[in-house]
Parts: sequence; structure tokens; C-alpha cells
Amino acid sequence: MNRWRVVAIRYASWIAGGVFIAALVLLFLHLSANDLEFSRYNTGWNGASAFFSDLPRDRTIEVFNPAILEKQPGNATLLVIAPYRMPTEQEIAGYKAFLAAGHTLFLADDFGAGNEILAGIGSRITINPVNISSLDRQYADPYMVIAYRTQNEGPFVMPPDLTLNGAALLEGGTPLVLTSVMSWADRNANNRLNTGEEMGTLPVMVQESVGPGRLVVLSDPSIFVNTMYVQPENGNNRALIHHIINADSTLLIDQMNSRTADAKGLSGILHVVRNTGIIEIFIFCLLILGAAWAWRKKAF
Amino acid sequence: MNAKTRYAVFFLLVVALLVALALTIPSPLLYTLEEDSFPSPFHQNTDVLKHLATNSTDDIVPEIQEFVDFTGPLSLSIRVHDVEQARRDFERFQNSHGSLKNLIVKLDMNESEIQELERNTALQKEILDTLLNTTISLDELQVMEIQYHSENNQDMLTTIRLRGEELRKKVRGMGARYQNATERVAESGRKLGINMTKNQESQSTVNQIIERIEHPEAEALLRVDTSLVPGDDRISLFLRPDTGKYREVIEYMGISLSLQGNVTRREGGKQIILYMDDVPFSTVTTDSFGYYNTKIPLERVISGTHTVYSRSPTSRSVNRTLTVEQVPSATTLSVSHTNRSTIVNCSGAVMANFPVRSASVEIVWDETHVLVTKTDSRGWFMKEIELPPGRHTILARFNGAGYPIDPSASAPQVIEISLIPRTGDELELWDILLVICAIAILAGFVKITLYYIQRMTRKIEARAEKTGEVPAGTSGSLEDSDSDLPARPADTSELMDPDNETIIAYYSRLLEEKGLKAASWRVYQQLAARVARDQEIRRHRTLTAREISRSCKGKPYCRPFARFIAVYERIRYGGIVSVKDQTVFETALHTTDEQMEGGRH
Repeated sequence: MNRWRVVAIRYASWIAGGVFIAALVLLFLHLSANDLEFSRYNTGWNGASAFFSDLPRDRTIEVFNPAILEKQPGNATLLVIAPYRMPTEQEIAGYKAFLAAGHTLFLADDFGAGNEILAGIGSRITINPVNISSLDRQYADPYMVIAYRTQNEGPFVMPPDLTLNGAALLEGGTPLVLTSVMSWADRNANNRLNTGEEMGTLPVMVQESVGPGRLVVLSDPSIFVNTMYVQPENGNNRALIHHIINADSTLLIDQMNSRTADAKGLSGILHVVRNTGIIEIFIFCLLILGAAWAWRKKAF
Repeated sequence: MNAKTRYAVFFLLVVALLVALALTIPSPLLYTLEEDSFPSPFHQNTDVLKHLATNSTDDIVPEIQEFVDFTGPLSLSIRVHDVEQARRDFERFQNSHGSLKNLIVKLDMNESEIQELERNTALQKEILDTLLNTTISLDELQVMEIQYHSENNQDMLTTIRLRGEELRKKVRGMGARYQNATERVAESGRKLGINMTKNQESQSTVNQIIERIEHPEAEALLRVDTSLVPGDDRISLFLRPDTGKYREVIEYMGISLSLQGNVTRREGGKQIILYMDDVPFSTVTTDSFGYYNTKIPLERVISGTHTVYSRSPTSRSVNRTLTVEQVPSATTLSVSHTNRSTIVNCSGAVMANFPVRSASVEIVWDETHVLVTKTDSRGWFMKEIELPPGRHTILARFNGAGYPIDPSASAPQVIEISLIPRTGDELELWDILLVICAIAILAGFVKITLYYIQRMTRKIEARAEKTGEVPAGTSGSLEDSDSDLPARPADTSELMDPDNETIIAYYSRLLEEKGLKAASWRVYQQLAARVARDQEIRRHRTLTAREISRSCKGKPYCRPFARFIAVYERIRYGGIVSVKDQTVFETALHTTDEQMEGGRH
């Protein structure tokens, strides 16, 4: 019995330490995630954590200030995913300057503030806030539409088809991806084809030249959420996104007006810390001070 | 809480944490799928949708159902000579047919099955189209016939009759063709789970239309004729009562007579046919006195007034009016789970003033899927339906069509189908496997823990045997660790005889026999045991010398004991020991011993 105790006492502190650290890790993982739609910190089905973890860190710039857009050199692509508020004048000016420099702006939005951005930059494309339904679908829901490319090569390498999750109807621009003829704009939102709702091919991804720049609009930002990005059956969605983010250009992600930047609780604090240099330095200094104090205590 | 309980709790905590990690690390399932399937205005969870039937026929059955059901109203409109309504029905039928033509998608029914359904419904459409046109043409011919008949224009009458014959020839054989098409549509419907009742009902209506077109004489016999047939024969009819509700019994009675000159004869054994709204509904035979009497409950008769009369082969009664009153109804529904988790049992009843028997009841789930069943003779119905995982709302409704009964619907019932469909057998097997796995993992964990502890214990013992010392970090041997006594050395010559030996003598003896290091350690153990006893320090041998020294408070010997400990540590762990250190140690030992003895410790 005593042997047990001696051994238990000797190793209990190590085990307790391990348990404590593991518990802290679990707590941190739990608190640092959230459940906000499209949020990069949301590891659930409706978050965009998987997409953000796949971004090439070496040439991805997160845009928190529209001024960055105005002086972006070389060949660049800006992703604006699920904008949720009216863009500011500075942001519109940034987008315009970005396009004027010959870059590509990729806007993915259905029911957000995409139309305001499009109108602000002078595009003729509009996002009609009507869900597209189709009998040609991936899952047992008419809003899970399968759409097909119109050409192999567009601004990016295009996969043969995409699976969309509640896509809206686009008007204007040159279609890059169209739904099949078994689709209709579900204007009364009842998931059914009714009188006055005609079947036909509908554009869900279009492009347009705005000055020397190129504008691509996808009427479904949901292809970036985890459930549409990581599932094997939606491999073509992932392929399209990979072609966009791994194209031979600098990638910019709009974090000024995007639901992907949404954060709350600890994830909100982490977001602020990570994206504010001075706070990051301050925290780093605090950590060094803490380590130094611990070292001094040990030495004594 | 004693040590055993603490260790048990700690062990459980470790196991729970490991399990939590094992569950969390491969897939961060913070919530179950049921709880994670909250509605989102932006998108839907594909993990949830994957558990639903993927692109199954069920998804488009409502659309096909709508298409198939069109034949019924269209044929009925032709029959009742509502040409405008028939045209409107036909237009909708054509539109619906057009949408079905495009319905070639990735479904669990293949393209040939859709084409088969499309072909047969196209044939039905063609026949209905012909019947519609023929009916219209014959009606027009009838008007012209009356006109030429009044003008006594025999040439035109002959032409019109020939034209009528021509039209009648055209519809000949259409009944059989329509029947074949209906049977094939019904077969497709059975395969695809479509309710074909309306389509099949259209068959009898089409047969009646064709019969009327092909044999207009038979129709003439059934034409309404409210006046008594001129002649010598007479037949009477009485209704008792002449007003009724659903399933209330109406008695139809009368007498059949024949006049032969001045003699009136009762006609026994004559067959009498009862008509309601020109449609025969019962046949009775007169008795030997010429009376007939029958009681018939009101079943599928629409509310309102109806004209009833009776006919013998040679005479016809006067018209009587039967009034049928509308009654309210109530439909109940209860939904229960069956052995199979995806199948639910829907049962209930349709009640009016009496139970409504042999009535069609629609079971609607999620407002989109409709299944039809029939009530039995007690008004009860039961149907098992297969539902996809998720929350569903089910209701039963009785539309009252053809009955003198108001329509009614049950209260919606909500039922939850688990996202993980499992049959009872699978569930049992799965549970057993789960328990076995859990036991195996736990047993494995315990075994590994035991093995590890035994191995460590062996190592510690081997090291202790090799060095002749207790393990570092503890102040004594493995035995008596919770006692206040000093550790018992393996060599009995190192034991102190407390009755005959002072601590100074003990130190001197050990110094001579074992050297300063061993002597200082044994003396320290003696003093530490005394301090622990006096200061009530529990498990003092788990503490370091310095910790015991710090724990010593409020006694005069504490200060010299602290000095003793300081020099003891130098001797024990300091490597080379100087004479000065030995002197200081012995002085501190003396002082501490004196102080302790002074205080009788």
C-alpha cells in the first residue's frame, strides 16, 4: 500500500500538471471559437475556419485599412466575402483604386451589402435577392443547386461544376457559371416551382471588366463555409477556391466589411490582439516579464 | 476525504479528460448534430441534409402528383359538359405535362421510368383531348339536329346523323386504350409511391363519357323526365323521411300497378329501379301484392336536394325530393414511433354524426407530402409512413368530397426522427459493441497503469537496494511513511536504542561505524521525528529537511534545529565536508538536543 502511495505522490504532480494543461487547452479551444455565421473563428459547419486555415500565409494580406488597396502593386486578387454593411466612401475608393490598378476583385455575396459595393464601383451587375432552386441538386434540398461552368478557363481555372447553398440570382455581366435548365428563381420562397416561376439556366457567377480591372461576382458566399468547403462531395468548390487563392498573385482578404471577421468573446479579444501590432508587442513583453520573474524565483 | 478517495477521483478525472480529448481532437463535436441543425438565413448544414433522402423521388412526387391528378378533374369536366372548365383543365394539364418533360434529373427513378410515365400520361392526354373535341362537336350537332328537326329538313338531319356516327366511330376503342394507359400509369405510380386514386377514378368517368358517346340511345333512356309516362301502367314512390343526414336510413317504398281496361292489377315480382338525380342506385323487386320497400342509408351523397324516382320496365313514378343535410366532422390523429426509427404509425378516426366509413383521408407531413389512406367501417384509419430524419409536422385531413359532411383536419402532430436511423436490432448490437469496447479500453488502461506502477516500484526498490538509501525526495524507507517514528534502516546495527542510548551516543557510534554522512542522516531522522511529533506535522517523511525546519515554530529548539538542518544539508549533499562543518554540526546537534530535552520533547 505504501508503495502505491509513494509512486502516486511522486507522479501525481506531473499528472496533475498534464491534466491542468490539457484542461486549459480544451478551455482555450472552446472559448476561442464562436458560432457566428461565416466567422473565421467558427469551427462549426457555418464558419469559415477551414478556408482561412488553408490560406497561403506567405502572400495573403488581410485588409483592415482601405489604403492598402490603393497602393497594391503587381497582380493581386481581393476576396470580399459576405459583406454585411454599407461600405464607407474610403472603402469604395479603395475598391475603385484596386480595380483601376488592373487587379481582380472577387465578390461573394447573396443577401448582404454586395449590391452597394457593386453600385459604388460602377458595376452593371446586380444581385437579385431571390434564392435559386433546382431539381439538379447535390442534397435533398432544392436550394443546394449544382451549377456548371460555361468555359474551362475564366479568370481562374474553373472546375466542371459547383455546389451552391442558397445562391441568389445575378443579373448583368458575362456568365461564368450557370445552373442547369432544371432551375428556377424561387420568388415566393416555397421551394416549389409555381406558376410564374420559369425553369431555365440562371447565372450564379459572372464577370465584368471595370476599367483595366476585373470584377467577378459569385452569388453564394456559402461555398466558403466549412460544410461546403471540407465535405468530399463538394471537392469542386474547394478546387475553385484553391485555384483562386493559389493563383500566381497576391491574395487580399477583406476584413473591413466581411462576416468572416466577426468575432465575439475570447475570439474577439484574440482577433484584436492579433491584428493590433502595439497590443501584440505589449502582450509579448508581458510574457517575457512573466518568464523572467519565474526564472528568478526558480533560481532563488 | 482520505487519500484513496482522492486518488480514485483523480484517476476518474484523468480518464474523463482522456475520453474528452479523444472525442474532441479528431472532430470538434461540441454539439450533437440535432442541436447543430439550427436554421440559418444564409445556408443549410449539409451534414443534416446528408441524412435526408438525397434527390429521391419523394422530393418531386408532389410535382408528379399534381400532374397525374389532372386527368381526374379534366374528365369530370367533360362529363358534366362544362366545356370551358374542361378547356381550362386541359390547358393546365398541358403546362404540367410540359414541366414533366423537363424532369430528367439525378433521381432514384431512372429516365426510362419517367419516359414511361410521360408516354402513358401523354396517351391519356390525347384521349381526353379527343373526348373533349368529340363532346363539343356532338353538342353542336345536337343543337343543329333540333334546329333542322323543327325545320323538318330531312337532308340536313341525315347529314348531321352521319356526321355524329363518324364522330362516335372515332372514340370507339378509346376506353380500352385509356384503361391500358391508366393501368401503366398506376404501375409507375405504385413504383414511385404516387397516389393514383384520382387518375384511376378518371377511368370510370372516361368510360361513362365514351359509353354515352357510343350509345346515345342508352343515354336517352336515362334522360330526366319529370312527367309520368303516358300509358296504363302506374308506379308510386314514397320516402320516409324525406330529409336525412349522413348514414341516416331512408325508406323507399311504393306499389306497382297495371291498368287493364277497368281492372287495376297489382304487379308482383316486377323489378323496380330507384334513381337519384337520374342515376340508378338500387334495384328492388315487388312482392306478390305489388309492394316494394327498401331501406338505404345515406352514404356518398352530397348535401342539398336530390330528385328521386323509381322505374319499372314500363312505367315511372313521380319525382320525389330528398333533402340531405350537411353535418360537421372531426378528424383525429395520433402519431407514434414504431420499431424502426424512421417509420411512424399514424392512426386516427373521422367522425361525423356517425363514423365516416370508407372515406379517403389525406395524411400530410411537412405540408408538402401527401399520403392517402381509407377509413374502415368504424371510421378508423391507420398508416405507417417513412420519414426522413428531423422534426416533422403531420396532420390528417378529410376533404369531405362527395359526402354530406364538412371537411375537417386533425391538430398537427410534431414528431422527431433521429438523425441516426437505426433499427432495433442494429441498436442492440451497437450498444453491446459499445459496451464491450468501453470495457476493453478501460481494462487496457487499468492494465497499463498497473504495469507501469509495478515497473516503477521495482525500479525504486532496486535502486534503494543498490545504494542502501531511500529514494531522493523522501526522508525514509517505503514502510511506515505515515508514522512519526524515524525510518527503520535495513541494517539493524543502525538502529537507536532509545532506552539505553542518548542521541549523542547514537551519533558517536554511527560516526565511528558508518561515517559522518550516514550518522548525520540517522541523527537528522531522529530529530525530525521528534519535531514532527511535537509540532504535529503529519507525514513528515514526505517533507524535505528544509520544509520540516520551516514548519517548526514557537519552540526554543526551532532556531538551533534550523541551524542543524542548514549544516546537515551541507554535509549530506555538499560533497567534501570540512572539520569545521563537522564541528558546527555537532554543536548544533548538542544545542538542539539540549533544548529538546529541556522542554522534554
